[in-house]
Amino acid sequence: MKSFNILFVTIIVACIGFSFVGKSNFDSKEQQTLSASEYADTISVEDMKKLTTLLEKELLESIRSTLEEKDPHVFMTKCYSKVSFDVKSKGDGLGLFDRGLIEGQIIFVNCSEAITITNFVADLKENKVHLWESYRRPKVSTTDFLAEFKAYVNEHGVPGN
Amino acid sequence: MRKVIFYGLWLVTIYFALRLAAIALSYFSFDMDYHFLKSKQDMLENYLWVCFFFVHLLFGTVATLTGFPLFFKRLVPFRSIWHKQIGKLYIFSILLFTGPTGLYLAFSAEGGPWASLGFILMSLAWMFPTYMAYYHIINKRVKKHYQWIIRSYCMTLSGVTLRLFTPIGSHFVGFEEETNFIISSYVFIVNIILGELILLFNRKQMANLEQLIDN
Repeated sequence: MKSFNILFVTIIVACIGFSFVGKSNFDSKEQQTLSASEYADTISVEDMKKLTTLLEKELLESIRSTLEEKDPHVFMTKCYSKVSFDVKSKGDGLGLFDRGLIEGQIIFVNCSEAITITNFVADLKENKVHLWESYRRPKVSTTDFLAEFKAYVNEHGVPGN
Repeated sequence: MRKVIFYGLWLVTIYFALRLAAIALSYFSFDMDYHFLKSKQDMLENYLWVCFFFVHLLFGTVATLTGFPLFFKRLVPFRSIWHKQIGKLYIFSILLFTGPTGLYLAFSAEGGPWASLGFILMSLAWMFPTYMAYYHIINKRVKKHYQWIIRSYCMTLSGVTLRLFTPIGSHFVGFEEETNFIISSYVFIVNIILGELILLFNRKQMANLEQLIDN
């Protein structure tokens, strides 16, 4: 038991020691702070709620069901997978928040790998979503985009797989 | 009825244990773009990390698969040499290989420092009851050994809880990726509670343990 204890403690100490060689989450240089505060002062909470509801209804639900039709277990894997959206911060490009227009991307996170499905501009005043750059064509309606996306998934499978 | 529940729960446990082992073994195609490794591309240049990752998976599988037969005296009689040898394999797999490597991997886990802290605690909470089980059986305290080994195997199955939580948190609850990683690193607490509940509901059998082992 004594020799086992020595071996056990040595291995534990070595493993902890090795963890300081190379990247670690406790290394301050490696840390990035990403939070909603990046856009919280430019998009109001009400607008964010409206945007979420609008995108869910217009795009996200249909994209999810298209992916699930192709692969019923696409979101039931052991690694992180979801369909979501990302909002461009004001400094990145269009600063349209004041006019009720929000620019962003629809993202499919497949096992932690983020894949951009399409870019969007949501018009909260009109309650509409415009898409562009999907398949390198300017402005596509959500209905056309979803039909194209379904055809693409049926032919090529779930993106990233 | 009690027996039906007992064997039913064991069947579910064995099913998940086998699935967990299958998931771990699927990484031995050594495809560095496969599932979890896709998100750890920045760590693949670190050969020590890669080596520890595969050691963790291999011995994690050994611990998962060798653990459950030891609870069934009809499969492996408690006082047999097989129980001792397989038990040693289970305990040494955790204490010398998969536990320490898990501790090392925790420092660079997905989800930042809070997730790392969770995984460090998870490794310690896995090794501690395993060590205690070993310590007690070396000192011939069978009842204590049995209690601690139940806690240990519950922690071995925390890999299952972790993988069950990931789709629940991301798909059904809608947690953001980082939040999901952080919470998932603490889901082992569920396994600790389960271990304690198993011991609580079986306290009568525990009182007659020596008799049960010999019969």
